[in-house]
Amino acid sequence: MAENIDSLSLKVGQIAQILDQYRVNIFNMDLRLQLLTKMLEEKGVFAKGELEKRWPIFLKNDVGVIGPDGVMEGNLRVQFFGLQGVE
Amino acid sequence: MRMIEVIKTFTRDNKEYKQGHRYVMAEDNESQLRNVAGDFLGMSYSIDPVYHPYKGEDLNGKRLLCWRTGGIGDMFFLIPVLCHLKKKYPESFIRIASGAKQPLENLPEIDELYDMPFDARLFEDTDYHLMFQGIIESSSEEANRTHAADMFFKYFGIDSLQLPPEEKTPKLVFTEKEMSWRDETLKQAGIKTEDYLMGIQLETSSPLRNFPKDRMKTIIDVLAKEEGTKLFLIGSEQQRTLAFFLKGNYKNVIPAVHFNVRQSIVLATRYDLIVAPDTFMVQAAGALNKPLVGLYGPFPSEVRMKYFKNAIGLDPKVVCSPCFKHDFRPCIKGFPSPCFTLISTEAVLQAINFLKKKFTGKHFGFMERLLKEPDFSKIERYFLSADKGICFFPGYYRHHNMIRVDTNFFVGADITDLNTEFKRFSYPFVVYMNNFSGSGLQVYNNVKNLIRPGGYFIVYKDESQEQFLSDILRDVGKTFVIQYSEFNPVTRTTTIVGKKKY
Repeated sequence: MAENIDSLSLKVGQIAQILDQYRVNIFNMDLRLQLLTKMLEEKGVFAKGELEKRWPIFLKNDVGVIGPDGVMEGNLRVQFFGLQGVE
Repeated sequence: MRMIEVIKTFTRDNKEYKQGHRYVMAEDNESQLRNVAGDFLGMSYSIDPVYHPYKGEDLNGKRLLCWRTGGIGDMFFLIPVLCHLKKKYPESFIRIASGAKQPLENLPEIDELYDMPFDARLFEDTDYHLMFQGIIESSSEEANRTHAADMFFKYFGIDSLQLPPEEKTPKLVFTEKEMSWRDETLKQAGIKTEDYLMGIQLETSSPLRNFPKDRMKTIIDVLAKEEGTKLFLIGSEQQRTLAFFLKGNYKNVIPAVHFNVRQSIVLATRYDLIVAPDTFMVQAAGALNKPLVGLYGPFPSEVRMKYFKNAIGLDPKVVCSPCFKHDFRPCIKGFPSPCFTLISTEAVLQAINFLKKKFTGKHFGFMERLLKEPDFSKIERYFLSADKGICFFPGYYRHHNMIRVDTNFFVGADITDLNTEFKRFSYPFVVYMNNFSGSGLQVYNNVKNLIRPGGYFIVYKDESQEQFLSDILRDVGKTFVIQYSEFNPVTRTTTIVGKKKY
């Protein structure tokens, strides 16, 4: 069993795959953490401290929730540059 | 930056390295070159002993050598600075070396233009040197807030605050030969003078800044069905497969992936509208004052497009955006970058239509169909038969007796203006809202007291708006009617399919 995430040397694609699963399925913050933890534990790669060190951005509450439709929480800002009568 | 000695003449990437000469290149490039031509290279030296940095001195009668290894888009930010320097010091002699010199070609302000790596002998007869590497790549607070052109001005010791925006936009110079090449190429592609020609940049150099392909496909699908519109899919040879996938069977979509950067810039002079993520094409469009829609995620459009004319920047407003990442890897949160999920295809299409309407006076066909008023007689009968109600209603709705609270950016309504003239005492009285997020909620709270018996809220029903809908249900009281409508996307008409009393 790998002791930490670094020893796994996850490739970008693999991380993306994990995150993709993460993104699509989980949007409750606590549940997210639990499931991600479980998922990694089952694969024999988890050390929580490592996870926090490695992907702190996911574990904070201010990361912006990505809903089941894949759309991130937030707004679109439209900026008009040099268009007279619009700005 | 290092100077590398060549001990035996060789040619690499169409560039001749001469024996006994030293060539200036970045450390990365040195190690790459040593991998393939190590036997031909001798010692490498630091440039520090010969580097005499320019710090805003008088350049009249002096020679200035500037260089940068790459970044085609970044070269555009240099152009205003060079124009300014030449205007201020007409007697100066400016030499530029760049790994991406295409935007600088033919500029009268530049006396000599070289490729990277360049011969270190250029140092010898030059008074001042300036390596402009890592100016906008730095993640300093200033680089994140300041337009890239201003950062370049500052690097050259020039205060750009007083300069008008026109002097901070890049300029491009084309030769007659280039223009006739363009006309010939377009003629071969079957482009007529009256065609509305759009350039769509497919990808950036970094997956982090790439607009999602599925959305790009939808946008192209919609635009390709427009009569008299031709789409050029701008990219490089690496994007050939993608370009042909996006082209599909549309005859008016032309993959422009076999052109080099300079040719792509030359072709941009004919485009009527350009859509691009954060790439050199945004800067080229800005330089040519072309109507432009910039699709931004990791960077705010302001720091790249602020001084342009005729441009719309679409920025997602999420907690992690702008993240100012210059990475060549995908976003840590997934690929494509999730912040782009907020730039819907509808928003891009509306921005495109907005610019077309502004400059040609005509809508695209898709918008004309969208704005066409459907037959509301059936719906109105229902309005009159209920005391109070809610109608779930997608699409656009107009009525003489309605406050238009359209939070859509491009349709033109002002969400703060509730003084629209309407007949308060007649029925039905309708508030139409197509967006209940953020500012929409505020508008709703302001207008909810205006709704009287016989009045309606018209709401675009969406799962994410459940909370707002329950607020409305509470506010309209115990007796109300919910009407369900069905929307036909082909004819853009709506028919009422059900009605329930509470």
